[in-house]
Amino acid sequence: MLRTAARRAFAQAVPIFLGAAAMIFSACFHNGNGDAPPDQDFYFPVGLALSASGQHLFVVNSNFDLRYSAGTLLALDTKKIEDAAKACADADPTDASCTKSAVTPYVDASVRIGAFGADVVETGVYKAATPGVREGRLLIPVRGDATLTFVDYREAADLPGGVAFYCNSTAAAPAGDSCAASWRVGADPTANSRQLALEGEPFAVAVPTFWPTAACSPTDPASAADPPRCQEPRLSRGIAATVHQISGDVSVFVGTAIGEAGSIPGARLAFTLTGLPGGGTFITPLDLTDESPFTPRFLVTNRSQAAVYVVSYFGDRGVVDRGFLSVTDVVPIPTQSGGFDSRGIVVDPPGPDETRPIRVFVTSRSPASLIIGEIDPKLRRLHFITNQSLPIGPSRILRARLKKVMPDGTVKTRTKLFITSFDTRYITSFDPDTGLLGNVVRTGKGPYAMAVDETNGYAFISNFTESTVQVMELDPTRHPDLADKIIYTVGVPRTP
Amino acid sequence: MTRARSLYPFRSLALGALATVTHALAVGCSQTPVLTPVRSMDRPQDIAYLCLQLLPDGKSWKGAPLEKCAYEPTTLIPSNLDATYRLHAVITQVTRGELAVADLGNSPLDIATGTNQLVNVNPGLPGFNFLPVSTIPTDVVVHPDGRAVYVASGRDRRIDIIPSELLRGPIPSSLEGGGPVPWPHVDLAKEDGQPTRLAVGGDGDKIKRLYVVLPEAAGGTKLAVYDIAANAIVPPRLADIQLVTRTPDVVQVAQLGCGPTGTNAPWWYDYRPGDLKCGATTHAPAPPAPLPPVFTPATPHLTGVAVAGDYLYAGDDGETVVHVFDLRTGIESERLSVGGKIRRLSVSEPVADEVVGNNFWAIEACENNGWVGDGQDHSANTKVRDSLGGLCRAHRYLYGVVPDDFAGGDGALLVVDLPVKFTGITKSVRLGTYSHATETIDFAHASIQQPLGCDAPLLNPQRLPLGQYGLTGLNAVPARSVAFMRFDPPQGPLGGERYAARCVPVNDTSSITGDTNLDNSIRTVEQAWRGTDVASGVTPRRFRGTFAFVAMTNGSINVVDIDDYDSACRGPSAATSPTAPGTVVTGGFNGPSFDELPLRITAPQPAADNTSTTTEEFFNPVRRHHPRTGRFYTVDVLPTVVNFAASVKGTSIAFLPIEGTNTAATVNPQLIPIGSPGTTVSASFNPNEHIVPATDNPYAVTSESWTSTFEGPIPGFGTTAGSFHQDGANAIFEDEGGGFCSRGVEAFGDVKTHDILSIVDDLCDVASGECTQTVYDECNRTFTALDTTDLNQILPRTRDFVIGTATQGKLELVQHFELDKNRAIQAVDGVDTAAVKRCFPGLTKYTIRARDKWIVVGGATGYLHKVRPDATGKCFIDTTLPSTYHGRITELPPTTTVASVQANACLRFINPAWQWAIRSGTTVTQRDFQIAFTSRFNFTPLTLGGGNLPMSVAPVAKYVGGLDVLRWNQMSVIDADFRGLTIFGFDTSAKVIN
Repeated sequence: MLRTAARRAFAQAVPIFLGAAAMIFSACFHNGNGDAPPDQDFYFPVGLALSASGQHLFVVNSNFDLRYSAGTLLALDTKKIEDAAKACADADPTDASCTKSAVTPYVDASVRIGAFGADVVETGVYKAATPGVREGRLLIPVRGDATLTFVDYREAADLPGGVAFYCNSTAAAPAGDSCAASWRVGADPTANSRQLALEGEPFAVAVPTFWPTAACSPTDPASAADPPRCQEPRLSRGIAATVHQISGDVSVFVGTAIGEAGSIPGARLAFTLTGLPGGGTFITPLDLTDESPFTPRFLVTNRSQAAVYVVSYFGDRGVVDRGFLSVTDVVPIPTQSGGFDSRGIVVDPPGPDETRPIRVFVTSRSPASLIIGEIDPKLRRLHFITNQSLPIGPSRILRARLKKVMPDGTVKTRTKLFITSFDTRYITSFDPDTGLLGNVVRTGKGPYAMAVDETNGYAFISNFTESTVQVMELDPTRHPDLADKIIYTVGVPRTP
Repeated sequence: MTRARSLYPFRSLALGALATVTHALAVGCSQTPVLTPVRSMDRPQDIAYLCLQLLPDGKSWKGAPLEKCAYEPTTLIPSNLDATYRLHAVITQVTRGELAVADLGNSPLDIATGTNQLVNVNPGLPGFNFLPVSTIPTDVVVHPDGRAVYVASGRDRRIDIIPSELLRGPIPSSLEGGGPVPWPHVDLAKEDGQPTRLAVGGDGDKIKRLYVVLPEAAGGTKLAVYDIAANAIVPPRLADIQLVTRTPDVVQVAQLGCGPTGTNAPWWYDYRPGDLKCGATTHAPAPPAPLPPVFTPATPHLTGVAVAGDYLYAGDDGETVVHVFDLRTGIESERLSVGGKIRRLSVSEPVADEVVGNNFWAIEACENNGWVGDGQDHSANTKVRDSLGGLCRAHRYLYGVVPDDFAGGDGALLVVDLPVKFTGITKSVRLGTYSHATETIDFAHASIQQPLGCDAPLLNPQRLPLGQYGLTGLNAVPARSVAFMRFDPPQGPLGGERYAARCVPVNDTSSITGDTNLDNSIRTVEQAWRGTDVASGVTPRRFRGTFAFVAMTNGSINVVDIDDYDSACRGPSAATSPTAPGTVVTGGFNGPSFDELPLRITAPQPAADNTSTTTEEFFNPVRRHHPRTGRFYTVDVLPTVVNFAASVKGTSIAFLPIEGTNTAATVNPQLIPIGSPGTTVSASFNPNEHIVPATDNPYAVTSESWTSTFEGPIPGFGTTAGSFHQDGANAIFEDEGGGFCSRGVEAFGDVKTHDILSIVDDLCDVASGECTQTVYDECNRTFTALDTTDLNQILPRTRDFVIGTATQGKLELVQHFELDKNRAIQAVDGVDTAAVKRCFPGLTKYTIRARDKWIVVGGATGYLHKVRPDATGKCFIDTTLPSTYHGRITELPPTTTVASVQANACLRFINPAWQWAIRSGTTVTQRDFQIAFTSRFNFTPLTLGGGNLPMSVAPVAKYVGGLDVLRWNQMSVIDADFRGLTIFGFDTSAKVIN
């Protein structure tokens, strides 16, 4: 009875309450003692990522209203979802069977994590794979316990569902299992040489994908060709950085690479950069590939200044976890001089057959727009050149590299951007090469995180408010009329 | 206790007022809802205007040519004012895929008073409902006859054709559920790709066509052409204009017009220091025009389009070109290499030459007689002959937004002058009658303008930057969209109505009677616009003439002057002087006599009051292709000099200026007061009488610190280091990153005037084994060791080396200085680099100093010079740059009189912002003698509020043969964020419709 009343109250409050709750709950760094979360359903999903093979779609459920005792991480069978989506596209995407469906048939594995997961990235497979087995690591900033939670996954045909999670022992975590403390990095200040504990509200995580390179084997003489790029990852075993929602600070972790430290992550919190504008919202790596010496950088957005902060990582070759971060540039967003509140940000390096500069795209809520910038090739500085109107309330932005038919008839891989507008329930696709909108599509309630299966041409959108994941058709050759449109919904929309 | 119980308190939090507060304060949660303002538009983007007529049944409407909605308040021209005609706007709504319709009323007066001007096309639903069109509407245009509206879809490869009679609804209820729309559409083929922009041609009696931009078409970017002349609702597709690879036509860069213009040119045009003649009766040859932009072939990709006259102009963000399509032949007649990728562009209506200097009466004659652009020789008119060379030229201007140019300014404007020639024109547009003329653009003489090239040294001269690199850095944002508007409000202070009435800065109508080339009957109206009465007269916030409106990405609308009808009345009167406001200066000020000033050739001098001009402190405060000032240049905004100081190496010097007629010799150098002959300056030293702003250039003056330093260091050196070595017989100093040319090192002409390399490094270090104590002692005797505790240490001249030649990274040293037996300094040819390296091994810190000259540096402006590297890296003086771009003062002899400096501008140092003159004292001026001051002034451009995300600007006008046949005199801006449609009147009054 009490729970029913509480849920009703929350349902009334959610539309205006989501932001306030974030602040109010910011002290809730431990999980509650409520009911066990559903291990085969969505509940306020906030993060999506695909496995390196593309076989599984990982969904982070935030348990945002703390109805349950924990958040969850689900592994869904991508092919099953895409097959169902294709069937709907072939028939009628507006059919009831396509606008809602059970989640359970698609869930291959699950594990419980802290509440208020905020993001997820797949770090890739760094160690040599066993034939027939694919491994990877997921990094999830969890606001509920102020940690960067590590979850490894293994995909193999002999596993139930073809996938298993590992985050508390060397054995696969059965459904209903929770990640152990040793996999929730940042909570223990004695675990790093600076005796740091992770600040509250880690909100987004970025992992440089530009190192280590194939040539960076310790035994490979070719490593000498790019010493900074090769030596540092071996030293730090890979870095990852999180931005904190309230303070705007940025923390950096070292030792995040899978396979370097055995089954228990050797990751350690190395440094927290303070003094950044409050209200950090997103962080993404920036690779100026041809610079020398090489310095890994992150671009950080925030809600309190019309500026993007460039944060650089400097390793300490003497002590693994004594690397540090420094603000190396503050790039004003002149197009937003009348407002601020930047959200998502992506970096768009050119492909091998493209000669354009590196592009940077930022979503802003004030005004609702996509801000377009470039790295000047000569001065190597980021500058913003224009903006594009977006539906009200944009939040996340995703860069996908998709096949595109060029005017001369050739097919090339080109960038396409997808932006979710949380408040007004839209997802916008944008072609940065032409500067044209592809489509503006109505979604379920609260579209937020996205992932794209570039190989098969499908996008996945998690709808936070109604706890669904929707599938968007991206391949214009399959169904020209349905390109960039929603064709399938996993989950049954519900009112919070 | 369960978690659920703990949620109870949130009910009150969420539902109470606190929810609003926490929403505002909630930091970081990316799910924070945005409070959506109450309005009907949703991400509007483009706009078009049409005229609808209410039919006798009182409920049906039909489209009409736009001129049917013309506003004609007087009887001078037969009025078309008919209450059944109402002007409408159609606005695309991108997010929802809709077209909003706004009823603007029967006259411009309805704009201000109207309410509920959005048309609700579905009264059955609450709120204002718009017409559903295809997904992602990218552009909207209207048939020239008002017959239909065309809306392009950015997704569905189709163009909706909405008959005008359906625009006001009501729409069928079937559309509420997404049913098919009751109007036709054109389906484009898959190979066409998405349509992005639309244009229509065919105003008046010209061929009516719809042009569709297909940038992503298979086989390459192209234009599709549809025939909309026929009555068929769905127009047939006539042809495609496929762009083929071709070499573009070279567009020359216009030579800067800030050099001498003639033997009678005012003095500030006559100033040519150093390299050119100054004050001579024969002017130096014109410098060569800058090289045209380099063209790099790329794949064309059409962007924005604009129809003007008989041509359609299209931007390209693939190639750095502008495509020109001749609408009469349907071919791409020109491809202009303009040196920048263009996203959006606009082309102005024809205007005459700019009214500057003494050509006012000539242009008056051209316009009154209908000669503008006729290409005929009108030398029979002496004014046209003398001031315009007998030709009454006409120009269209193409403004294109160059979106991506980090060095030159993102979103800066490219300005191209397109000379126009009309044939068949029989009457002057000025007189309000229109006769169709055939227009020809002289593309062979098109030229890229250098809008601020004479005025703002730090800006890219071949762009008009209004944003981050623009004047004073205001509105530090790129431009997005641009449009021109010709305002000609009919209501003058005296009533009545005339067209293109230029303000005349003469207070005596009788003086111009008898000139058969002028229409004296309209003098009173023209005069009526004069004066400083901001309520009814000339004011920066009143638009009369042609202006460009530029939407910046942050919401500002910047205004650019093209042809302000009131420009002639903007400026000083006889009663004002920039140097002594309010004091009558007989014979003018700062050198020229009053009759040499603009507009004073045949007219009597204006009266000593404010009835003829605005009494501003700058001449020509309105300049073509310049940002429009937002305020008058009155006394209170005059540039001033403060914080004057003189010093040597940080030690203050009791500065003894020449005051009044005091010409007593002094030991130290002095500033000479600048003023007209006979001017009496203050008895006590007033720096504002000695350091005077350039009187015709408010654009270059800004608040900054200035220093003049005798033999001062050229900025950019001091912490830099290079190395000495011998190259055969030549002594070389090399610093690969030195940038000697770019930083302004001069080594031209007589070697005695060449710059000096001065070593500022410490001597070799004995302790580290760089040299022995014996060598060190010898070095110390020759070069003197650095005293690191004395930042103002005076180093000996023996550390100086005269530069023979300079390249970007290398200097050839030809002389050094030695102490002779009398311990005097002597310049000696040759440099023994080995000896120098013994004392300064390895890399050596250095600076570059001028020799026997003062170096002038502005805190914001920097050190101005014209030295550039050529292709081989060798330094040369770029004579295409304005002569005022320099930063060196040559001291005047101690015997120089005040009167001579006041009479001869060539004796002064003049840069774009300031002028002053220095006379040496009775002793040789010490190195690093410094005169410093702070200037206070900032150019304030006129900006209008356009919302937060203005997507487009559009005139509320329809031009036929150069005449606005609608005459609503309003301009519109579409803001995608919150403001929707804003319509500005000629007095900048604004009405928001959203």
